[in-house]
Amino acid sequence: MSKIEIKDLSLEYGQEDKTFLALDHINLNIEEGEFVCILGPSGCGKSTLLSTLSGLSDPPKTGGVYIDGQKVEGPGKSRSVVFQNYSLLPWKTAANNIVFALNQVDKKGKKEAKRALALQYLKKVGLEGFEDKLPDELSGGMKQRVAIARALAVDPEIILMDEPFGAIDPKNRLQLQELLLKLWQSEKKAKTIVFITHDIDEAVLLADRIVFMTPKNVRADLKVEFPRPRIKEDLYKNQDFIFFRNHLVGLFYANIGEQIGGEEVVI
Amino acid sequence: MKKKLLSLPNFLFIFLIFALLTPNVRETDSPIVLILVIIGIEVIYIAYMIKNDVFRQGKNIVTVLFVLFLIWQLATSKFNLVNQVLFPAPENVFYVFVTQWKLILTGILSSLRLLALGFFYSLVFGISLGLIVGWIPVLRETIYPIAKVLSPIPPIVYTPYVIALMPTFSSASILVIFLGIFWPTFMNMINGVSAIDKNIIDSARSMNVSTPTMLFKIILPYSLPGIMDGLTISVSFSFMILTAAEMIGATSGLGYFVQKFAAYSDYTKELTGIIVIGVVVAAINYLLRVVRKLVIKWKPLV
Repeated sequence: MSKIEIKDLSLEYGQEDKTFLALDHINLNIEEGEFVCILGPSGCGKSTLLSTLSGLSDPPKTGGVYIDGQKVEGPGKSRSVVFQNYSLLPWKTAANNIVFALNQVDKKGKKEAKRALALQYLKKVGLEGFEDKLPDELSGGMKQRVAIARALAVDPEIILMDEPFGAIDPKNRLQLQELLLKLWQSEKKAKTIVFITHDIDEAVLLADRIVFMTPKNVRADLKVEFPRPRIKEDLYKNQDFIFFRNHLVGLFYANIGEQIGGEEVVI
Repeated sequence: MKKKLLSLPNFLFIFLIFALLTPNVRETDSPIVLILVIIGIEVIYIAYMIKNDVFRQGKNIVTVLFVLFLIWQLATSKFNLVNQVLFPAPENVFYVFVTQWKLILTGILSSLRLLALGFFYSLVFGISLGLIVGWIPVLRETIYPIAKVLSPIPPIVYTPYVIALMPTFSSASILVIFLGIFWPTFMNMINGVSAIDKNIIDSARSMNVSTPTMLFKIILPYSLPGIMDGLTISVSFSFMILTAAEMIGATSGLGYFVQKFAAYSDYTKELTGIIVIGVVVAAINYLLRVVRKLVIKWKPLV
């Protein structure tokens, strides 16, 4: 049994008379400890797919998502989510945002212990000394560091990331990608990560496996064999990487061509 | 520094004091209280001026204030250009603070007590009911349209009825203030709940929070700045309702004070009452701003 099993999943948006099919009979298995990137152009349903995994979406039309064989009916302690838009509570400091998340999984534990844990995770993401800052006093990259610390601190089995670095400038993005890999590899028992992105380089750098989505469905499921730890500069010199990347770019273009009715499109 | 001291408000200040200390055409009470008030304004003005380099706004306000005082004093006491009964001298209006201080003070306390109680109940009920109704779709769909019809009815309309209905005047005033503040707070809260940033809600939902946690630890703190900003308007509004109610049926309070002397055509004391009401409302608003600044650090006032 896989950690996450998506079986015959279809999802519809909207009211009775006006509906929009976002996911069309999707099947996908994700193994424990795997880092999977779901890659695809805007509007292909990848974020919707993630919201069914997190339990935030409406109930599916057909099929469902199973975690350890249990059908997902809503959010749960085993999963934490990192969103693209900063989702920290703006009235709470960095540390208190993490403590708040800890309170939701553990109602009893001591306040001091939770704060100590929060500080420990802030240190891990390189934010030592920023614990008492409000989110508005932090840069975009720092906010996402706090969000990552918050997702890790509750010790979930699965981390769901919805384009977490999409709004970050390129330099900071690379730093965050490297940080995420470092944290993921340093865990004793590797966490399962499902990471949504439309950035091909990001997917190749991070993932064990890339699931390429076209509108409503999965088009390709590719293993990423490059050895870890991966260094971005070294990857760029690798012939295999260039070949693999071109293949993915080809998938992107093919898809866009289809969308605009087969006409050649220059981007 | 020297240039600052030669500014317009300071000239007006000297001119005002001079006008108050020289003989008048009209006979007045002692100008001592008015002089103290003017010196008080001047002292605050100079203190601010020394602290802040740019202080144009304060300078303009003080200038307007002093000019008004000056016109008032010259037209009444100094040259007696207007009707004595309808336009009392400023010296007399401010001297009422000495002769009537007890009545004014009890009036302020009595009004503030009713205001505080009415305010407290309407905020507690308005916020908590608004949160619950806003969050639960069935309740919102049912109650919101009804509330939309009831809420715009001005409380002054049913004030006489409420006073007749309730056993005591205090309970009637509290109810009137309650009805005046409850509706806007309740409606704001319902709107606030549906307008809350979806990212915050999703983030909280993904952490599997319980409904009470969602309402009181996510949505309430998120909406608090809006509520606090609305309070300043509500305070002025409820003071209006209260003084109106007091003018109808009270035996104490600021509205009663004003009404009592108006009945005897004692416009001097009535003007004093009006000034007191203005100052009290301004003081409450100032206090609310201070509290907001201390409580809500994450969203500064604009």
